[in-house]
Amino acid sequence: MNLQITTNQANIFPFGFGSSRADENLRSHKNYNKQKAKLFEVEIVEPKQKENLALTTQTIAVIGINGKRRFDEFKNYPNGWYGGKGKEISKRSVFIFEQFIKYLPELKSFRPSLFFTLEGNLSLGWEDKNGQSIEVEFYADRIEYFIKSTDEESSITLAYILQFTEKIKNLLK
Amino acid sequence: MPRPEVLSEENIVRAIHKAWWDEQENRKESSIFKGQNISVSRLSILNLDELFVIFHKQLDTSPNGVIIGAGEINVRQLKEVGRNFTANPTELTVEVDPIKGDAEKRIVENPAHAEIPQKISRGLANKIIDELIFHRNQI
Repeated sequence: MNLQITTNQANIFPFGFGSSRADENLRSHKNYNKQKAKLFEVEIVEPKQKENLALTTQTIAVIGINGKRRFDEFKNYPNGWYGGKGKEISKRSVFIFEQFIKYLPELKSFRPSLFFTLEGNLSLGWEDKNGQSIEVEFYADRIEYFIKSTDEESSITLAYILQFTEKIKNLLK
Repeated sequence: MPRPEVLSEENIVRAIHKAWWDEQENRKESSIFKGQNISVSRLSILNLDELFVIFHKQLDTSPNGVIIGAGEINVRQLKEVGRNFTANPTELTVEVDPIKGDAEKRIVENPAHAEIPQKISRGLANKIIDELIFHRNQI
């Protein structure tokens, strides 16, 4: 069972974040027979129960108490919310969202709003320095965004998440 | 048989879920209008108070997830926003689609129901949201 969880971890980190917990867990997988204690960490990092979903303090610092309160509500929405159309929260979406925040701590000063979509994804919205809205939705395999100042509406695969955060950083300056 | 179109003179509303409106920051998210076959209701058939009763019965499936408002727009204005969307000009229509109630299937009757069949992108949804008149839930 532990082995399967670790394999899933490998599948969800195709874009290789250098020193992330994911890499550490992957190393645990390789040394499965030698380091069983490491595998225990995997179960903690990737909770099976949605009730265990919790944001890091780094993320909460950016989205604030209002954002955290909204997240705590969203994670309890059942499958079928909004008249049967909404899906329950995607743990992958939460993970990608937190990676994005990790590279954009300066977003805090823009007081971004946290939203939840029918697809079970987290979405973030705020205004740039000129008051033009930016919206970013975190899918399991991509990030979709809309930048009002340039009317740009597009998506990127996760392989380009760092380039995307750099692009957003430039819009915040 | 094609469904008749709602007249351009009419105003329609879209139910807004708490997940798509951050009241503290007063920001809205494109989910309000993004997607295909978007459900709306015609104010010429039922008034807002009557519609909020239906929205709550049909959509408040979670104790935490509630309909907190509605966004109103004139049909002609909606069509203009679609045509003027430079990234992808879109001919939007609103089609009459009344819903018959079915207690067994938990379907709430809504004679004012209509649908926008075209696919609305994130960018276009944001443009439409800019034009909405927002009504907070009165119930």
